[in-house]
Amino acid sequence: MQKYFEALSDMFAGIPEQKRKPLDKGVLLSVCTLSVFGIIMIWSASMYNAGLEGDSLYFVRKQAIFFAIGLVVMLIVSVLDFRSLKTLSNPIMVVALVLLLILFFLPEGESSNGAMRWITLMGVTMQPSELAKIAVMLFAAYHLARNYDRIDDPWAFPIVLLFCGAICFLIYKQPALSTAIIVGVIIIGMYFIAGGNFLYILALVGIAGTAVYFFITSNEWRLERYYAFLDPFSDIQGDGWQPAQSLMALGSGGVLGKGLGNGCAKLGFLPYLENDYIFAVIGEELGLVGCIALLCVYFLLIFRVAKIAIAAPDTFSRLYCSGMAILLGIQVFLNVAVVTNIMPSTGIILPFISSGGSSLITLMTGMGIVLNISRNKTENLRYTGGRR
Amino acid sequence: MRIIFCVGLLVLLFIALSVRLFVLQVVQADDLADRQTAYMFHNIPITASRGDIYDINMNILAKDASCSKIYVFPNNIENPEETAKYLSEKLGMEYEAVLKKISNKSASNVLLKTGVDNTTALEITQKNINGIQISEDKKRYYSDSNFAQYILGFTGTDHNGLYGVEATLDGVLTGVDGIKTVLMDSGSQIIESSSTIKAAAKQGSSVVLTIDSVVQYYAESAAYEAYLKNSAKRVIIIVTEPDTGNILAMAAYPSYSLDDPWEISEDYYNSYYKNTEATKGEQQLGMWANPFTSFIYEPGSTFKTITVSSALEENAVSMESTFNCNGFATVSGVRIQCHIYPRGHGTENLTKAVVNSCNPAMIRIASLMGEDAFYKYIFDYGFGEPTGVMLDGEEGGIFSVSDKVNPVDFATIAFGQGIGVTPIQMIQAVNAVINGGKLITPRIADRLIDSSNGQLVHKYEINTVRKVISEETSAKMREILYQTGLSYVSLNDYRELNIMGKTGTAQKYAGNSYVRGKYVASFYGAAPYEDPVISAIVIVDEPGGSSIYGSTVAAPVGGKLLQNVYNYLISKDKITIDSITESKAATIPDVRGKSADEAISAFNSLGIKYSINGAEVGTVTDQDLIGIEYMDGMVVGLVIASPKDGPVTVPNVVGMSVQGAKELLESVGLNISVKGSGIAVSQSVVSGQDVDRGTAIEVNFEYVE
Repeated sequence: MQKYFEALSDMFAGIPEQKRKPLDKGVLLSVCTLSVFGIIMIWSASMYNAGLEGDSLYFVRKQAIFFAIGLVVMLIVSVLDFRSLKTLSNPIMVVALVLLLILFFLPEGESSNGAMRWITLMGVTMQPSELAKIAVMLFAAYHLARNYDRIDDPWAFPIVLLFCGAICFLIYKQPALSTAIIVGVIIIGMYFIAGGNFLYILALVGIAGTAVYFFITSNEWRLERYYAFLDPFSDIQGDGWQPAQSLMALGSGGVLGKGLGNGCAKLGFLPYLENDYIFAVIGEELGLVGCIALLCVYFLLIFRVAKIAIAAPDTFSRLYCSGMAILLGIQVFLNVAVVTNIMPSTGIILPFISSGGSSLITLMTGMGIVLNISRNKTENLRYTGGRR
Repeated sequence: MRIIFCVGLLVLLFIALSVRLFVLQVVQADDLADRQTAYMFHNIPITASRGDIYDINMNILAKDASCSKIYVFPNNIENPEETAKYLSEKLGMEYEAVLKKISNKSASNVLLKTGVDNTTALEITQKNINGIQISEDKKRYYSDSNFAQYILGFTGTDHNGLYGVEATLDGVLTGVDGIKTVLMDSGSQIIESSSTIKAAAKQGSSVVLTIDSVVQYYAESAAYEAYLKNSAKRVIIIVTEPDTGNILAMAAYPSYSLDDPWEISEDYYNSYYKNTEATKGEQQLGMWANPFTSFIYEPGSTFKTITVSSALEENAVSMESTFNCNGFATVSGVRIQCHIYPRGHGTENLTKAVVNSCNPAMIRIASLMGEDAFYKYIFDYGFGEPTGVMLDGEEGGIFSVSDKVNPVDFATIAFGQGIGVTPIQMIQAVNAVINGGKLITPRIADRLIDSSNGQLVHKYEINTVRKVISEETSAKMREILYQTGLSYVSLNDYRELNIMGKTGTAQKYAGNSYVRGKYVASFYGAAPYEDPVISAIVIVDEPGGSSIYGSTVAAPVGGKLLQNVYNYLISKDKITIDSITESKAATIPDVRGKSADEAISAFNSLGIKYSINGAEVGTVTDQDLIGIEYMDGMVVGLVIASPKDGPVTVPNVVGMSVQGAKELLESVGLNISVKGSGIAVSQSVVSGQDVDRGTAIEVNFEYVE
């Protein structure tokens, strides 16, 4: 216990001056650009429906507050002495697990959309699965770095597999299969980047793939969603509704879009528009040009994070940044894939842009750690097996 | 290295997404956009106003006023049972019918009801039920719902004319519906800012009838009085100008109410359906049938005008011819009695034969001119075919000639039995007898005018079909009919008018024989003798009182009617429809901004019916039917807001002055932001929405012609 408190106090002491360099402005700028762009699109997406409820700025105001909080958190995290996080990665993992477990003991009333994904504490709702993503990245980075010498040995990581597997299972049970898949991809990806054995990676992918196939086919509503995905217009009044509306919104946007605020999908046709389907609004109002531009910004951000990973002072940092890059990449890909109906509908948000406090603040915290890493000079930091 | 591999993988994934986006937003863009348009944009018809109907003095008889129609979007209805219950109660419809319509998920939208008054529609709007959408409609109003029903007719649920001139002139009265393309949200609420008018509605032409409301009023009163006095089955009256064929009035009793033509009127039911098993549909069809053009009866002695004028024109008889009546005539061995049998009229000249209404004399006159000549005249007088009057359901009567004419039939036609005619045929023919021999198509429509500016669009010319008899013959007939008129004791009160006339009493034919005790008593009269300007026919079907004769039942009604109409025509400026009916025809005042008490007392003093939506006390914030002429059956909806805390409902200030709009908005606790000057044409928040107290409503003012 003692060492964790020490780690915390060390962390808040900040990075020693001689080891500092300026943080990566590209990452900071991209994150802020995406978030502000997100607020604008949330305004456009939500104003009509929120206006019917009496407050057209409801979602915008909330998102702006979350962005402000996230920004502060990100900047604070970026100046802390991040190396203490290595020490703290185990307890953070435990907290994430406990929060996920708590979800199963909440009364029915706390469930939303038929899924137990939220905890409401003193008027603030949070999504434990978002925290779990960061926890998994820290935990995996820490343990993979610790056992970096025998990375080829699968038995070197029972604890990683056990804990991360447990997280995946709990998230799947919420049910939030897509989030569980993302967590799985991050773990496998980090193992791959750490230099993991291809055979083991293939085995892991095989097991995970089989499990996902089994999960999808064993569940009726997931199957229905799957069939609706194949031809959304054949069942436009039922399960095809969301994908069909999304496709029509994107298509009607054309190359240049209808102009900001001029979209039609927002008139109640796409549920959770400011959330999972905000990319449809972007496509409808800003057109193909806007969509490609957005993908470019995402790519620049991910590329920047990857560069930080390559230049990272130690293996833990490198793996963590890689995990973050994978998280961003997979989320953007899956979200746009769902909106463009390459994939069946799942609840994956577009990072920094979709409305929602938990995801925005967690992502910005995660990016704060990346910024932090970018501030550390490489030469002064060598891998020391988890201890300074 | 592995990181770079991952970045490369990401590039591939993003390229895949870009390709997919390209396919969607460039290759399939038009198709998807079309699908979205089809899904979200809807074409809604803008109902064009029908043209108005006026009488010859431009008194309004029928006009359209704004109302609402209600559409449902079955796929957006969340709770069909509850919604159906609510709507069926509000709209007075059958619950099952409503439920069936709103549960029809295969239809994108269903028209639930037209002609809903705006207040009811507003109430439904304020319930904010998803899947219900209200758009403007037009409703037909008649200045008096028990006035000239068979002339005007009425319109159906889809606003097309079903009967009367509404039907015969439907093509010109009907405007061209406009189309409005609207964007609707998923709850079927229209986004006004994204709605465009694709084609504006064009109002139909207005019709000016030859009908004179005052004459019509006299005729209606006369018909009703005669119906009551004689316990008749029905009374039918037509008033015309013999020289022009213009129809001044057509009245029939019993009839139906234009306010609700689907309801069988009590008197009609008693006359026609009391002890029958006719279905409601059959009863309606019977009630709606136009008696002037489709009531076929045997004219009886009034037809003697035709017989005598034909024979005079044919020179088969002259004014000096004499006839002998023994009380009967024998034709082909069949004895045909005169009406005073067993007595006879003895020796009589031509005039006397008509005055006496002598049947044997008529048989003799007909035989003198012969079958061919007589039948030619009958056809020339227009019998056996429709007159072509612009009214619905016209029949040609029953008159046809076979190769072998039965001499008995020929003989009875001479005194008006064995031939079936319609009232409009009869008056047309006898008008020709006295007007110099011109058979003129009866005129009901005088002209069409542009509804917006009153300019003449089309004039219906007087159509003389043919000349049947000469002016000289006609002059002789006027003399004969004047003498005949003088012979009726029942016309004694109207001697100053010099009425020409001929009555008839015909036994009714049903099945294969004449029915004892059932008669049609009729009277044709025209006045004054020197220069006939008016003529009238009065037909009393099955008089049930102590007297059944044309001279006692129909003639006095006709005499009084001719006297009234003539007095009116020579002093036209002193008598108006308002002065004789004491109606309170008024323009509906704009009472927005007034207190509920003030508004209600203003309406009560004008005799305007109203309904209140909202509070009982407070300020009137919205109102239907502002500034239009009040007509029978109109109910002006008022929205009244009481002073209270919390959000306020935005009033409707469109059409008000700057000062009026300012006062109204401030009286309910809102502020105004004035843009432009003149008359309010739009407001930033539409009426009926709730906003915070103190909100500034931007109102655009413009000078409108």
